[in-house]
Amino acid sequence: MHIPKSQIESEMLSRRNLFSRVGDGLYAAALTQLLSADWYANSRLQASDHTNSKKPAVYDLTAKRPHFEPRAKCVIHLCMQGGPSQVDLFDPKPALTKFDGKSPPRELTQNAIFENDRTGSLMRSPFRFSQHGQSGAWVSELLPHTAQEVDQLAIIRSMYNVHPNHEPAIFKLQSGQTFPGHPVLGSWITYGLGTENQNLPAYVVLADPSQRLPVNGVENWLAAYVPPVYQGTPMRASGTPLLNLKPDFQEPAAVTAAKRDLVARLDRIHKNQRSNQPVLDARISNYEMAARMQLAATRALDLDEETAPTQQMYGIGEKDTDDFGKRCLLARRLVERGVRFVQLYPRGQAWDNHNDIRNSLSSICRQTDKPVAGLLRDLRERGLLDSTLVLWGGEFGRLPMAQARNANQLKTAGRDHGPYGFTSWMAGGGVKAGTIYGSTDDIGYASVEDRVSIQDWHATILHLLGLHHRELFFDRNGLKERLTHQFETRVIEEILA
Amino acid sequence: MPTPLRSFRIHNTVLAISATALGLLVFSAQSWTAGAAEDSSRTTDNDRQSLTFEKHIRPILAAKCFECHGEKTQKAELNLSSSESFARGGESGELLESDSPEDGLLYSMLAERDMPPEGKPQLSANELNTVLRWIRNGARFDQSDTEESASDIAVSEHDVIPILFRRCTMCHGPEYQEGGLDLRTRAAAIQGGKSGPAFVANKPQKSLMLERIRKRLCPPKEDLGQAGIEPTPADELEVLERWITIGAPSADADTNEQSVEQLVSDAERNFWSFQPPKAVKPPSTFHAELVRTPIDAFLLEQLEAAGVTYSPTADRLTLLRRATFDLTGLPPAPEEVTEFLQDEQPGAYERLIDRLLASPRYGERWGRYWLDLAGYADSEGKRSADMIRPFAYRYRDYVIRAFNDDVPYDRFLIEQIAGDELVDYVDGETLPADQLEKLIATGFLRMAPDGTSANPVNRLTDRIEVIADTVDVVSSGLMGLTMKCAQCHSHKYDPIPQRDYYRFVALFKGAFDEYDWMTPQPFNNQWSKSRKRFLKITTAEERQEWQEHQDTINAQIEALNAEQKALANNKTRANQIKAEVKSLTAQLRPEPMIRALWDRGRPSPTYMYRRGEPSQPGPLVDAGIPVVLTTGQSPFAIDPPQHRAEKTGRRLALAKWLTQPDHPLTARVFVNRVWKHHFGVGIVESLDNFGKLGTPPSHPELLDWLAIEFVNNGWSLKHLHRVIMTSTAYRQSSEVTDRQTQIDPENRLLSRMPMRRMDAEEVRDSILLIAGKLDERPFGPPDQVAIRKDGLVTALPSDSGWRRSVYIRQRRKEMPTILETFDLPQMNPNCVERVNSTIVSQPLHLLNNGTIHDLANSLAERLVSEVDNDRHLQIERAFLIALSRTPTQEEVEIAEQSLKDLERYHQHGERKSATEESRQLALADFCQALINSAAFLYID
Repeated sequence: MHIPKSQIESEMLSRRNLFSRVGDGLYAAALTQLLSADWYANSRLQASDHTNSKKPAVYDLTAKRPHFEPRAKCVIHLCMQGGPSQVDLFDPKPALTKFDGKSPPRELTQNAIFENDRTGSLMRSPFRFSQHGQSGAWVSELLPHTAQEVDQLAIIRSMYNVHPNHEPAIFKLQSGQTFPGHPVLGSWITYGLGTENQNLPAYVVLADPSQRLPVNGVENWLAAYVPPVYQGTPMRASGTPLLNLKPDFQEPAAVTAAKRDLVARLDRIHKNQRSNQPVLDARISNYEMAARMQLAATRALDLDEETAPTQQMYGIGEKDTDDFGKRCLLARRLVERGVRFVQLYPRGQAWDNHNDIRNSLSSICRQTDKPVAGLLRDLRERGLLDSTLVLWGGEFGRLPMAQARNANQLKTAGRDHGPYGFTSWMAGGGVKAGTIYGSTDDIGYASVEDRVSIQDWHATILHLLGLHHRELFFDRNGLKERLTHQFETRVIEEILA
Repeated sequence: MPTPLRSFRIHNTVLAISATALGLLVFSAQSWTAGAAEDSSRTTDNDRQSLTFEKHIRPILAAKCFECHGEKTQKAELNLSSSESFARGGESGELLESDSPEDGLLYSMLAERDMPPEGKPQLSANELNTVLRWIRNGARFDQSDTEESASDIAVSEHDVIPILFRRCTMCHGPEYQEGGLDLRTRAAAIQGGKSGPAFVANKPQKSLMLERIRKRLCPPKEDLGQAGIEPTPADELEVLERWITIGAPSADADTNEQSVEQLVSDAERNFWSFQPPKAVKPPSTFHAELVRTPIDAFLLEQLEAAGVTYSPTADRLTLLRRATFDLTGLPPAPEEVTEFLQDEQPGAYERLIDRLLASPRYGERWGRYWLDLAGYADSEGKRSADMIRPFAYRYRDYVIRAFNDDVPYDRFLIEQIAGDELVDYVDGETLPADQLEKLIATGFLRMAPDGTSANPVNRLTDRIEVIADTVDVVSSGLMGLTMKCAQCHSHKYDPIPQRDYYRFVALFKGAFDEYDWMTPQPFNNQWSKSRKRFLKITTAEERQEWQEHQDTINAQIEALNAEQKALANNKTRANQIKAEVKSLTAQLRPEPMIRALWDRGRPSPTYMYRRGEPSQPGPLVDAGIPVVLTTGQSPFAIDPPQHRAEKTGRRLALAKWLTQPDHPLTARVFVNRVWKHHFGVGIVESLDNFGKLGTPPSHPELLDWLAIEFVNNGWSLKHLHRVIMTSTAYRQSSEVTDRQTQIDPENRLLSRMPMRRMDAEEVRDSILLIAGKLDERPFGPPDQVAIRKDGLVTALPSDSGWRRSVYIRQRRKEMPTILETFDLPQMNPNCVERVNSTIVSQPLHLLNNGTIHDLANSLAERLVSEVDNDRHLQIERAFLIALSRTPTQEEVEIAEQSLKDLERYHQHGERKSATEESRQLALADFCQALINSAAFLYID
């Protein structure tokens, strides 16, 4: 069953319907609180003023005004950790076929961080490429479904990262630094913008349902020094959708209700004895939100509300795609309900194809291609793609050389980590659809033209959301901390619509 | 006219050649023409003839720039007043750029209006144009015909030494002299090692050092990755070669420190927080009867000026609860409530404060504030592995004990900054407890996140970052100075020149040396020569106890092993023995060690790093304190301690300087922090920033009075608590009137006490206490945590409940969920001020978490055991235990009705609980509701 839009909206406690409910009295004070907490509108002033920025008394998730008119309202980040191989997916290199088995030219590998990254012989891609859509973008045979949506994408073929190991490169991708301790992209965005639906977490993580954490574990979504309210909340498609959402214990439903009611009655007496204490009103509405979230979160995760054709579009019910398809569909249901930032992780390190790239890369593509394309199509058909920014890519790509223990094993060779040049794509709100941006060298080793750093990528994402990367800061020990840190950064204007 | 495009720089500035490689600035004062040739059509012949620095540029600079960059004051190390000093440039390098004139530092700063700073007279368009024309035309000087002397183009020893430290001294330095060679100084290099001198002056081709570097024999390939060294790049090799070619001239050890004072101006020194606190007489007030301590006089003066006064005094039970939470982080017990109510003698409240200050719970509460400041953690951070720091807890215990013992704050600081310089610990494995404590105290400087226990992140920059974090904690936490930005450039708003940062860093060099690093933890594939950061020192008693424990266990293991050997074909017994040995082995304890910081007396020389880059060393600096604080009244001298010649004494000097009675910052910063913890907001709101960008004090005289009162009373924190808590201000009600919301909306005047939510530890510890499940055993190794499959992190219980939150393992990536939910911060590197959030996960946790539910049940059991089965008594007792008061009639009615309903629901719910059980279940539900109530979680 597909729920009508109005119903979804009624589940949301947005600022607007908060206004409409002021008459309740209950919300009046909470509203004062909200308005006084609308500190964000002043942050431009703070940034240019260099005066000591005034921190809000309470950090919350109410929707905040961006710096300028945003192109996208929310983000779905398909975090393809492991390192999808660009030369086997989006960046075909005929030279690899021609020089298959030869050493890579020294001048192309001169920026290698590790000596190992220069060794090995070039390996042609075992996969066929063809051009697709109006844009004529090359896509490998491993991604037939994505290929059909290629005109929605802005493909960046000139990304690079600064470290060839997963841990630091992933930290860099998430937080702009190669080590933990800095807030991640999703935290910055929810810190800056809050969220549209107070009944659901602002920043949702949809990790592998087997609950094996991705590399770097929970640090992929920790808020570091921005308040913990901005950290990612893992949600699960089955069981208790999020931590503490349902009681760890058994009790009759009437008991749950009576207990809440008792808290509410005690709180009202307590509050009535204390006038002019908005924090007590905020607290009361916080308890009400908790109750609503139990319903809203459970409901948001109920895929049975979706029609069979929709489910099929995502590959739900098929062996390979069922898991990732469900999570992609969940992502849509969450952004539809106003969740600001949704992040999906693949199972394990499925993109980390050191061995047997023929099979291992095919396998992860089979699991994700249809769901991802289904997500794009579904968002588009529902008119959500205009306001949703979809990001796809890993912390790095792979080297064009073969990785194998010896010459006999070349048939089952894989590729090692390649941070020097790789492909990622964006689609949706504010992205110039059908763009191919930047390029790598002849063998796909390093990006050479229109190179895009991780901080450029970050700044571009913030820009699409109406945030200026220099003006979104958090004051810490006298320093204005930013997602793009002190690095030279540029918004990639060329991929903006 | 000579036109060397790439001339070498003069004196201490960065080597032009390496700068060129980085696309930076190249300049020669006497003859700069590059790049201008193609542009010359834009300048007139007249320009070419006449525009010179002395005639046309200097006057402009004199009018607009000399105030900060002249003879007297040289901010950012920049003196524009003479052609020589102009040519030298400043801390960011030289001022002109050959390749593109407009990009040079001088012009770009002026053109982009970065300089002169806002509020100062700016250059006119005409003046700016003159500067541009002068630059385009070759930037000529009157004395432009003088040939560059040989020394001008010389590479200096100061260019060479940093390279040797970066590449060589790991093996040829303080710890190891491979091949008998020490490359830390020119003299030692000439003296050479077993194979002869490292180099021969004027003869690069005969210099062993160059040959080995060129052939990539040094640094040895096998050590490169492991030791965190990178190979010597070509430009560095060129510098070494050039220096040797010109005869390897030695340079002065001169650090040019006599000019340090000029880096800040007198006006800047006069800023309030850089002047010692002034003794002030408390003002007289209209309502003299409200003045209990001088604090009240200062506060009332402003309140009365605003036409308001204090709120009425809070009722006694509110005061009891407020003071008890404030000093112990826990609610008062029912007996304490009764006792306090019964004490109707004068001074009952003062006696309460004394009693609370004497409680061992006090140190656990106030020590935690300090641990936030220090950035206490039981793990290394920085990497995903987040390795455990096994002995960090000893520092935590030191802090808690120090607070409980009211160790004078000056001594407390001296021990933490330089405890190792107070103790002669070098020989032997044991020390008396009071001596050992001083070593443990230096754990303060070992708290920063540190990722250098792994190869890819044990590079120079990683180490420098650990030092930078530590300096950040010291400077912002203890002095209210934000020095961090001066790592790369002079502070933009405060008088903290970049040089000050490096002088300050040099104070720590005896122990914190990026070129003489000690590894925090053993790890795989570790460099075989790396050294560890633990001292195997403890008290004789602890060592003996440990030894006996190990001996007993080892003896049992040996006996079992012997039995095993003698055993013939008895598989059952063999397996049994195996299991027993395994369990015994698990009981073996690690050798007692401490995680300290100690001076090794052989600091590497400290060079400024331009833009914070170790590959771009600037001038050599001495160890010292910020120059803005060095005028007369706060002398600074370094005296190496007598008992051990190999100590630098630098940190001890810092500690003693910091703890001078009239230090402008130390006492002010600390009393301000204490004030914040009592009143919710500091007199200076920005606890870590007493500089220009900080908030000015709301009551400057009060701040000074408190600082002086604190110091005059032996830096006693407990005295300070008494002074603050016995004031009328502290005893006010937290009720907010409509009038107050208009006149004092943010409570900056303190027209009332602020109401506050319990912090993370108070929430968890209080629930445990009222449920009768708080295990109050103090100190020792931290309690382990368990991580549930869905990510819930909880502390593991002991035999008798759970210990206080401060004793839970503080692993940066595994903080207990309940604490994190109530805003316990991640330490990166520390936390100066916690935030307070109101988020949905808080009610969700308190309503749905199984442990909280169990604890509510324990509270219900406690009620039954204390007052039996009478509902009314149970309700009263529950209110007394949880809320430190009796319920109102309305509350009793609500509670009774609710209990009846709950009982019925349990009886008729799916499980159809029996009557007796339902009665108890309902009581537990009621208790859980109380735990969730605002009355419990918020303190008036």
